[in-house]
Amino acid sequence: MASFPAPDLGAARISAEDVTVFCDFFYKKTGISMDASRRYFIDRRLEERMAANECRSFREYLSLVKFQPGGAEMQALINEMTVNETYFFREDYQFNCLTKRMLDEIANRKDPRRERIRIWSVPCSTGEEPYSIAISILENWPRASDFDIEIIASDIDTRALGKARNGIYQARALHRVPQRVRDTYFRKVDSESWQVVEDLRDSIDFGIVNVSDPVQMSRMRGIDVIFCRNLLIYFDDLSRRQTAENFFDALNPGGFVALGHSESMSRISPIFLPRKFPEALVHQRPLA
Amino acid sequence: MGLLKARSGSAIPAAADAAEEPRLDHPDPMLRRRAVQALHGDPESVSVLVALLREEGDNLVRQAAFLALASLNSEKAAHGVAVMLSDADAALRNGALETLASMPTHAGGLLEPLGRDEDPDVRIFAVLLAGELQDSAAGAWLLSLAASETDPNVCSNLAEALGGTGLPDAVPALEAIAARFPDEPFLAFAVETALQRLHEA
Repeated sequence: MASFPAPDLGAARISAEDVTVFCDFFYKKTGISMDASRRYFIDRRLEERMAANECRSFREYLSLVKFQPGGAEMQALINEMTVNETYFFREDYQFNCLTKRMLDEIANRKDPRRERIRIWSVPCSTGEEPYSIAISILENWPRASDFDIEIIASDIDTRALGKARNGIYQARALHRVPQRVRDTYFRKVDSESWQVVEDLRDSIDFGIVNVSDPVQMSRMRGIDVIFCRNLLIYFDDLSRRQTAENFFDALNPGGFVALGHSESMSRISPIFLPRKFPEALVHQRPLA
Repeated sequence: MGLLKARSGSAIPAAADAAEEPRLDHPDPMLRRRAVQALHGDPESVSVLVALLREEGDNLVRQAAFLALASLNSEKAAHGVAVMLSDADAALRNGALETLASMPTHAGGLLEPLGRDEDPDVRIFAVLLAGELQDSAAGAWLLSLAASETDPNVCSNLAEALGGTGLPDAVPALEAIAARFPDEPFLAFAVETALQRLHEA
């Protein structure tokens, strides 16, 4: 059967100047500082989105992204450009710190009849982190049943959020999950995949939040613990400082921020107190 | 109790209403901070923020004000912040330095006038700023200052900054500094360390 040739959408149509323009635009929209030296990564993803929209030039595509009503293409672009590689109980020393130290400190300041504990996982990617937090609490915090605990999980990538809500994972994501825990909180879908049980899926509040968007961030308040791991490494200094200020506002006094192992709040902003627990170093909003 | 069911439709807790109106002169620092945050993006806020920083003692409010100035990323903001490099308050000077470093496009042009300041401490901050900017113009400015600087403490900072530039021209500039102050052993050490860094780079 004859077919029309596919439009020529080769990499040559994206110039170095285009990449610079794109990086500036993407930074302003998301706070994520794309390194122009990652040309291959950026070009490939831009080409895919240009092909999907049948755009014949980068300029045409950029106009679409900027001015499309509803912003669907901007969201698709974000989904392509963000990285979502993770697994259950990654850097679990911080979850141990949560259940052995942080939650008790927070709980001691709350009235369990009136005040809930609120934990925020951002970016939650495909859900491994918030589910790990929930399982850690249920398994390891003896006072879990005394409190209402709300787990909020957000990401900028809607495709990742969709996967997180479905809660279906392959063996690779589950390699650090002990068999007993897997038997308790997952059900086998087929020989390759497992799904988080419905009760646990229903207990995570998934939603889209761009931490660089002041309007969206102004709605995040009353949080007790923020897990924000391996996000700030993609931000430039100014966006990091702004995000630190936003987290400060989102937290209750005495609340904690846990960053990735290669990230240091002390190099970003002096407004948090470092708290060195035996399991992990975290950052605390001062009580007063 | 235990894990709550997710609320349908919205993952986001609603913000609590503020009980009081934020004001820059409010006795509660959190409300002063919120008033500063409300100025974000306002290009006319530079003088207000700089004046506030000179009076404000609370670190949280200061950080918010510096961030607001950094976010403006304008020549006017850079000039306003640069004035604080000569303040007696070390925390204010450091905050000003960090803020200038975050707006390199506008801070680079300030090196020349700052390098001519009579106060050696201001020149030291200019050197530190050039070290933070890490671009070729800042490197060239460091070399030009090194050729004429007469204060040993400024030269000590120059040595450290030049050691980080990786510029071949930094070697004779450093040797000239060492020759200019034969009776300052700490400076000889600073120059030696900088030369070692350059050779290793």
